[in-house]
Amino acid sequence: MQVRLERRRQQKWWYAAVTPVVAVLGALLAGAVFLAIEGFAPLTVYRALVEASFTTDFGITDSLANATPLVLTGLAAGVAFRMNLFNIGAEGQLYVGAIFGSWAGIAVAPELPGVLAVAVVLVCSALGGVVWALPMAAFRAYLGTSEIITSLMLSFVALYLMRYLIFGSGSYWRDPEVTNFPQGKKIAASAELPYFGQYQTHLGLVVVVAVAVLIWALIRFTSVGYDMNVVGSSPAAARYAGIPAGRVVLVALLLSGALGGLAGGVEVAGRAHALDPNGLELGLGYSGIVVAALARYNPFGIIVVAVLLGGLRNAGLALQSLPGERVPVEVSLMLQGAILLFAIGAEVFVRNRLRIVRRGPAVAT
Amino acid sequence: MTLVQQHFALVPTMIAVDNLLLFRAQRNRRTSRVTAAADLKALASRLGFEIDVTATVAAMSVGERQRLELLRALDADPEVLLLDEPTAVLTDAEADRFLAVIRRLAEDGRAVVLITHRLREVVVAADRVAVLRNGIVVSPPAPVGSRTRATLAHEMVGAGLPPVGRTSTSTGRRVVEITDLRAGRLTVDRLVVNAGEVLGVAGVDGNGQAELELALTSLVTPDSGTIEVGGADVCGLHPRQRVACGIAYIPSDRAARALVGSMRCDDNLALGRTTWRIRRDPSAGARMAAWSIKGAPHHLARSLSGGNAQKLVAARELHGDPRVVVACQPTRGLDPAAATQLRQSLLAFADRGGAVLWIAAELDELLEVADRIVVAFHGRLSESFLPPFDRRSVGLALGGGE
Repeated sequence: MQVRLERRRQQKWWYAAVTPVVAVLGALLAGAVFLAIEGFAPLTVYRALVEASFTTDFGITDSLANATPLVLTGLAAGVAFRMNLFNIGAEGQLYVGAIFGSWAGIAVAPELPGVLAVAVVLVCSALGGVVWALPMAAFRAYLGTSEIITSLMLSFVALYLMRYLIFGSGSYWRDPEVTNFPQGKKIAASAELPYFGQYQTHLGLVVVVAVAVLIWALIRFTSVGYDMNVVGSSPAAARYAGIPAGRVVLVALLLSGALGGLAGGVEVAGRAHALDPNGLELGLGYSGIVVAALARYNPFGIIVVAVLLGGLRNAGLALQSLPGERVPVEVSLMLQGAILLFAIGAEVFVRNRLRIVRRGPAVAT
Repeated sequence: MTLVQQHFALVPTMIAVDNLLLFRAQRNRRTSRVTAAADLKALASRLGFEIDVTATVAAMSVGERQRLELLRALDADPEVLLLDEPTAVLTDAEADRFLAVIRRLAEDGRAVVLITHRLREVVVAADRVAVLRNGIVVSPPAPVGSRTRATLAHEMVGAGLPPVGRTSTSTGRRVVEITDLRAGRLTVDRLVVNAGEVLGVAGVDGNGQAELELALTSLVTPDSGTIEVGGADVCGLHPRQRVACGIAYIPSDRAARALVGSMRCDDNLALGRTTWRIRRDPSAGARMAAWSIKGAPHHLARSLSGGNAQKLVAARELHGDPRVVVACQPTRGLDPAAATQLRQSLLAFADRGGAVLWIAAELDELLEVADRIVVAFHGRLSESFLPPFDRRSVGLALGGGE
């Protein structure tokens, strides 16, 4: 008997919906094993997790606030990944976006009325993402350098650049009036994304949903999206059709970088209100990879998955204070990692079907 | 048991010998490259092929790759040999030699299954024949006996092929004019294709046809010379300007280049023809139906069979009244019904005043469809042959002889 994978010729539409559900269930099951080994009751922990994130109004709005940047980092990964371009550096693009965005919030925004002040922060942050993605994108498009390596390495450079600006120097971004623990200068109040009432959720949520719709429309309705599909699926066909593959790769990676940078801007204008390393170093860029993979790169799927993972992150803290059971905060990150593994595993079964073949003794081939 | 597939199963970045060793390793018989190279050469000479054992597969022409596939399969010294369209890109003489080899293999006590559209091969080489149509065995295995090509063709297509004949509709108006062209191995002093004409380019694969194909479609820039289409020089243009210049193109490697398998059929109909705003052509379904393509606009292109995929390519390329069609092996490996339909569409295009440049390795087909034939040999084109074609003199030109 032999187990064989055979490539499917046609993928049914509902695979896209079933796969993530199966992946999440699988991850919860695997997580339950670890929780049980550690002596926790898995069902209690999971119930607490859902209750903390998705049952109370504060829980739900906190989850949405966590989901907001994840939509953008998910889109950043998704736009590139669907072309088999693996920009895994949204983390770094987010930091540089935050540096650019907070500069605009401090230097430019005070002069401007509300809407423009917010807009200039967001545009500058996207620009920061583009700047940071440019070396990766250009090297990949015209020299064939692996974008995986360059984007990842540049993320560390961005991380230490941001830390240096606040902790290591008397830079423009650092608030000179705070003398104890170094902090970033506050951006202008007019540049902050307004909160919805007393909740943590801010207007950025609307912005990111609009961006997701725009990305979907770009892919579906414009020749840019069409060219991206062709270049991503078949470089030979792109050449045949006269589509300039290098330029399309460049544009796709810069777009990916802009989305990562915008995530930084939304965090600065929405939650941190300053270049605040402690408030920004949350691994949002890397989590975007999970979001994109689980959503199978679909912009609307990314919104749904971002809310799910946002809730999971939000629940991490709540779990720690679970009465009687001190569940470590890392459980939520472990589950996130498990979800990615299961999502990638499930992809194999979407593309292929499993067949069990009975056969006689092996024949030399 | 060894299978030779119609689509190549070679590693493009590896040299010929390494592709052989790749399969030997599986049989736990590791050998040195030197030994393997000698084996490969010996095998090739036994078959009457020539092969450069140190060439990378990527640098080989389609014909050379096919030959390597055959050699690799025979290297395993198999008891059962499954051959799927093994001679598709070989010339008659090469195919005959190959058929003689598999006869010998059969007489040594091996079983050979030959899947082929070439009826001549069945009559010449097979002991028994089964006929399949649309996945159904319409004629169970039985001795070939007195069956001829005509009776087999009748069984294959059912009702029978509508007759295809070509009476020249050439108007004498030049559509394509190539002068002093040099591109890689190819040298063309002068080549003209007129409106309403089907010009066949015959020849063993790898004699400069690929260069002609790529230069005509702006995929490579020639070293020197001019290619005029409709009076304008198209040399060195960007490939995306090809459609605007009125050049339709059915490439030889259609699966890899002419379609994007992971995209929908209607999106594939827009390949090379997009404006900034994509509206899916609502007539895509009607266009596909007009070509009797079995599939819907929203199906992925990779779900189409070979014949339907090629019809989709032709439906796109012949749309919008191009001046000239560059058709490279357009019926290679297709089922007879699809091949006939494609042939008729290209001839109808010429009847309407289009120019057709038809590159094919299979001579029989060109003799049937072309108004005029030139033969490519070692990068040069022969004088034109005109109907009624003298099979022997064309065949002689294929071998480069007087």
